[in-house]
Formats: sequence, structure tokens, C-alpha cells
Amino acid sequence: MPLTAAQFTSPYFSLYSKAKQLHWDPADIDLSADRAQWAMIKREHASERYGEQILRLTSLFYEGEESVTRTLAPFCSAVSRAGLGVDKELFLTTQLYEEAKHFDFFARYFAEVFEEDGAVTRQFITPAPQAVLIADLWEVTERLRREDDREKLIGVFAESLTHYMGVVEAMLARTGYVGAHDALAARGWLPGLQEGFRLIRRDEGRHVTFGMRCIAELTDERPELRDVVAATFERHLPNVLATVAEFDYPQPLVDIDKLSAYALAQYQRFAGAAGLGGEVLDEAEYEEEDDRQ
Amino acid sequence: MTVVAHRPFTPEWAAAFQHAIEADTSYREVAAKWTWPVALVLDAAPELGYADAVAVELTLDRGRCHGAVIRHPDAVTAPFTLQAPYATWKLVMRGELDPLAGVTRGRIRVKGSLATLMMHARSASALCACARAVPTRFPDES
Repeated sequence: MPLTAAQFTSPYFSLYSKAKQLHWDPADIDLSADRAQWAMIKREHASERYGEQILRLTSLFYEGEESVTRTLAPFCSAVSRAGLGVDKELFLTTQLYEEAKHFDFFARYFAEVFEEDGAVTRQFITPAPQAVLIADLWEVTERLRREDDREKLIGVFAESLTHYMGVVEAMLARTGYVGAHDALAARGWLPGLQEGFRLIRRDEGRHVTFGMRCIAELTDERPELRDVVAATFERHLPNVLATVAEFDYPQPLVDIDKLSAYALAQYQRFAGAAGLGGEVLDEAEYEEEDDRQ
Repeated sequence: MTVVAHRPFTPEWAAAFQHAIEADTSYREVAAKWTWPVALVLDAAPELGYADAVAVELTLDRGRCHGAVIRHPDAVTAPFTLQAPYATWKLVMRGELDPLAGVTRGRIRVKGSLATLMMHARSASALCACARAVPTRFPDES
């Protein structure tokens, strides 16, 4: 199916073009200072449990990025099968590549800085993140992969977009990257990890913008899908909040109230894009952030 | 004029809370889209004179409060309840804990649609800000 003239100038094609311009390679990030600092953090901040908090955060990112890498392919196929536009398919190819890079970054970080393989992350994957980041995402994208009826497929696509881009990327990933980056930057710690967070967060901004655009388009054409979006958030919000609450340590590394407020704003923005009565669709925040960084 | 302070979660305090909500123009504006009754539930605290859990049920609608009634939690019919121990409600009433932060940190338990409540987070915060205007005699301080 060819790209139409309208698709060449569509917002989805624009996001695809931006992804090409903002290429980065996880292997280029200098981790030498992080190795020395990680030993210092574990040694000098044991009582605050900062090492444990950093490992908990990065474990969720590691597991989350692996999960979203392995569950995105059904989106590309679904867009194609439902005939929702080649421009969307093009963007999703960049997203798939970027999710793989994010997983690659954390795999490298665990090996070279923490000197651990991915198995160490499992101790931090409690039932709430296990459900929202991994098991439930796998379940909905399996349905996305298997659905043949076009109308039902679009319904599952709306549910999958809400879960993947609205719940996981907007509420959890972007919130976590903002909180973690700010916490490390304030202390001048782990510059390589900070840089990875910055670049990943920039990519996630495009992914969330894509999700918001798609969900706005779908719910505009099919208002009944708003119920699907609302039900999806309703189902997963308790696990999102439980996951955020796990960082409520006696001496927290991240500002938990700021984190909660940011997650809440992400939810309101995405749900608002779906016409659920919250704030209006505001892509400017993500676009400006892309340009700034 | 003498200002009378009331113990929280008593009929007198509930009436003063309703009055504070009705008098708050900021709340009226922020909560213009909130159309559901809400119950705030205090866990039992026998050491402070609350032998059983107690609820204040607020009949809220588009920035107005048409009633504030003290009930046993089992008698509450509001579609939203926010329940917490005394120490948490005291922090909220003093403006030291935002109610939504209380929810996200697991200090306030919610029954009802979390998605709806979070979509109207500013209304919830503004409602609790009204409680700050109520002269309150905290039993652990008297």
C-alpha cells in the first residue's frame, strides 16, 4: 500500500521523521564514571538504602523495556490488518527499534555498572508491576495479534494503545524517568544513567504523542471506544499507584509526591485526548521537550 | 466573636464543613464538573473517642454541597468513599497532605472509580482545602 500525499504530511509521518533525526546508540554512552560512583553509593549510603532504590528503579525499567519491546510487534500488524494507515505503521517501526535500544541500554548498564545479569531484577518485580508492566500487557497484545474481525480488532487496538502508551509509557515510564533523572541530577550521580534516562524519555515522548493522537482519532470516529479507554485505566490504575508507592521509602531517593502528581497529569492528558472530560489534548509539552533536549 | 471549634467527624463539624464548602468560591469553580456524593471515612480510634469508624457523607454537585451528614460507614450510599486513620485525616485537614498524594501513597483507601476520582484530582484537593477553613479541635491535642 503506497504512502498517500496526505500521509506524507501527517502528524504520524512527522513523528517518524523526528525519530530518524534523533537517532542515538546505547553503546555510545560513557559509563566509566558510573562504575566508580555505584561502588561509592552502595558503600556510603547504605543506611538510606539508595543503592537498593536505584536498583529497584532500574529493574523496573529493565523489565518494562523488555516487556514493551516484546509486545509492540502486534501493533504494527494490527494497524496494517485494520487499514489504519501506512504512516502509523512507519512510525511504529521506529518505536519498535527504539524500545529495543532502551532494553539494550539497561542490559548493558546492568552488566557493566551493576555487574549483574537481568536475573537480579526479578526480586523487585512484585505483583503490581508484574501485572501492569508484563502479564496484562502480554495478554492484551496477544488478543491484538489474534483478532480477525476488523471492528473488534479496532476495539482491542484502542485498549492496547491505552494500556501500552497511556498506562505503561505515559504514567509509569515517563514518570519514572523524570523522577529518577531529577533525583540523580540533584546529587550529581551516575551521569551515564542520567544520559540514558534523558534520551529514553525523549523517545517515550514521541511514543506517547503517537498514542494520544491515535486514541483521539479512534474515539472521535467511534465514541463508544471511550468506554474501552476508561475501563482500561480503571483496571490498571490500582497497580500503577501500587508500583509508585513502592518508592515511598523512609528516606526516598525520588520525590514521591512529585512523581505521583506527574503520573496523574499524564493520565489526565491521555484520558483527555480520548475525550474523557479531562484536560484537552496537549502535544506541545512533548514536542517542546523533544526540541529542548 | 468567639469561634467555636468542633471535634472532627461530629455533626457540628460536618455542618461547619458544609458551610465552608458552600462559602468557598474557588471550590465552586474547580468542582464545576464534579457531580457525585462523597463520603470521608475515619477509621475507629477508641483512644481518641471514636469507638467505631465514622463517615461524613457530603452531597456534592457541581461545586455545591447540599448536605453533610454523619453516618455509620455501613449506611453510606455515596459512590465514592475515602477512608483513612485519624493521623492521615489530620494531615489532610491541616493542608500537610494532599488527598491524592494520600491515595497514591496508599494512606487513603478509595472505594469507587479511581479513574474518575483522578480525573477530578483538583476537585478532591479543593474539597479538602475547605476542611482547613473549619475550626477544628483535634482530640489528640486537647
